[in-house]
Amino acid sequence: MNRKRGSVLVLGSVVMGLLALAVLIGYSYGGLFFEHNRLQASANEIALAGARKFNDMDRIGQMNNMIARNRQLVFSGRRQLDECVSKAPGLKDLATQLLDESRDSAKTLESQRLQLAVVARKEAKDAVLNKFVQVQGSYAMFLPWMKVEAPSLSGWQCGRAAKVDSNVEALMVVDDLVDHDKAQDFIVGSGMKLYKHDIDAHLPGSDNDLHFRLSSLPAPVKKTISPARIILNGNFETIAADELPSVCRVKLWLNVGTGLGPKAEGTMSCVGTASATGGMSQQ
Amino acid sequence: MKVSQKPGPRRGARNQKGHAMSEFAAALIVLISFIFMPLLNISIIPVRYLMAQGVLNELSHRVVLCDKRSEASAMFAGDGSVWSKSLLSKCGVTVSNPKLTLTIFGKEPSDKLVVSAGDTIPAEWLPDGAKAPNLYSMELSADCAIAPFVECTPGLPGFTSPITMRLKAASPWENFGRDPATQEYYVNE
Repeated sequence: MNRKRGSVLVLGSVVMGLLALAVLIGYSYGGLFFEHNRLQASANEIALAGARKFNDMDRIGQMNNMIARNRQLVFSGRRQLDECVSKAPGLKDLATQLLDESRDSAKTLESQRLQLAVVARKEAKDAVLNKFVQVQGSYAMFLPWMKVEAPSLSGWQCGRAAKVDSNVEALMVVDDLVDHDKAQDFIVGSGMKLYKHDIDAHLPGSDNDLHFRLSSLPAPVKKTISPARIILNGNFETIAADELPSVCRVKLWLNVGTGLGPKAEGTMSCVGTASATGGMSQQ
Repeated sequence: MKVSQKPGPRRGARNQKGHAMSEFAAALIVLISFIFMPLLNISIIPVRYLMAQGVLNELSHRVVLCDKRSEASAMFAGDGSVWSKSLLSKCGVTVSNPKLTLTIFGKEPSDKLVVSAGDTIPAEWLPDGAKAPNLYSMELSADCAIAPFVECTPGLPGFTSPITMRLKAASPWENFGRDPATQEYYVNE
């Protein structure tokens, strides 16, 4: 015959055990929220590391400005040549030489712009991978009530931020060019007269064959340079492969699971999006 | 030859079987009703508190990523509020009286300015103002009524009825650029 003594102790132990189990399950689910926040912070950090590389040393800002000024030079050179042909034929050769030099510069700038698009992407990718490796090591955690594996980088993208035009103020010196730009809708209407983003601002007439592509980059306003920052994922816009990027987006995956209670293993993902440093004031 | 007989139960004596149940029934009722159930009931409150705080942290982080402060206020009042309320209501947390303010901390510990949504920042508190450099923090607060597992009357906050706490979350403002259209700081638009 079993002894009856100690039955309350057993019952009490079972009750307390169940209570502890319930609390543990609750905390393991609470832990998932914390892991999600942590993963989001890591995604933002990695995206920011990549975005900061895009406009390193204001290279994209300077490229945009050089392209806009070279465009004005080609336009002025063509007008000078036309004037020389009609009014001073003796200066025609000199005017032709000047125009050819500016046209050659335009072609060189376009090739350099394409090269910069490749270099900026590569350096940003390296920065993203380096930062990811730094972050990755601190994640794996295996507790009786929760397990967290190391995150994986599922991909990264280059793009631009919505509603951000180029950093270049429209050059209002040459009236004919201003009229042409307005007619072609190359210039933003309100506030600072900036060139729009991601346009190929072709010149009229014989120089229509040249490409003057201006990229999206926050403009300096009253000498205030827009710092690199995290932005909302919804403001990310994709760009063509040959465009200069100004926004980096990364996506992280993390396998997590609650060790106790209902089986809740799964993969959580977070997207981080960051914008590059804006263009500097032109000297 | 004498046949010994087993001594039978005395007349009027009670059976020993099940005595533990009858003796400890009261103790069990006390244990379950006054210790186990209340503990189980309140054990969910810290979990729900952490969830509510997590949601507010996430929301505060989202609003500071907006381009303009007015957009942050609109997000908080619109999508963000609906999102947090619907999510938290599923977790047994009722959100009321949400508020979003911008708090600016100056160089001195006493330098502090709270700017409500819709108000503009005085010139000296702007990033290029006389009091610069400053720290700009978007602070979000809301009354969160966190319910235990089971609610009943009489209501004892935290045990049988929701306990209301004023939860806060803050994140530093991200966009310190200026709007080319108005030339104002985004944080002041």
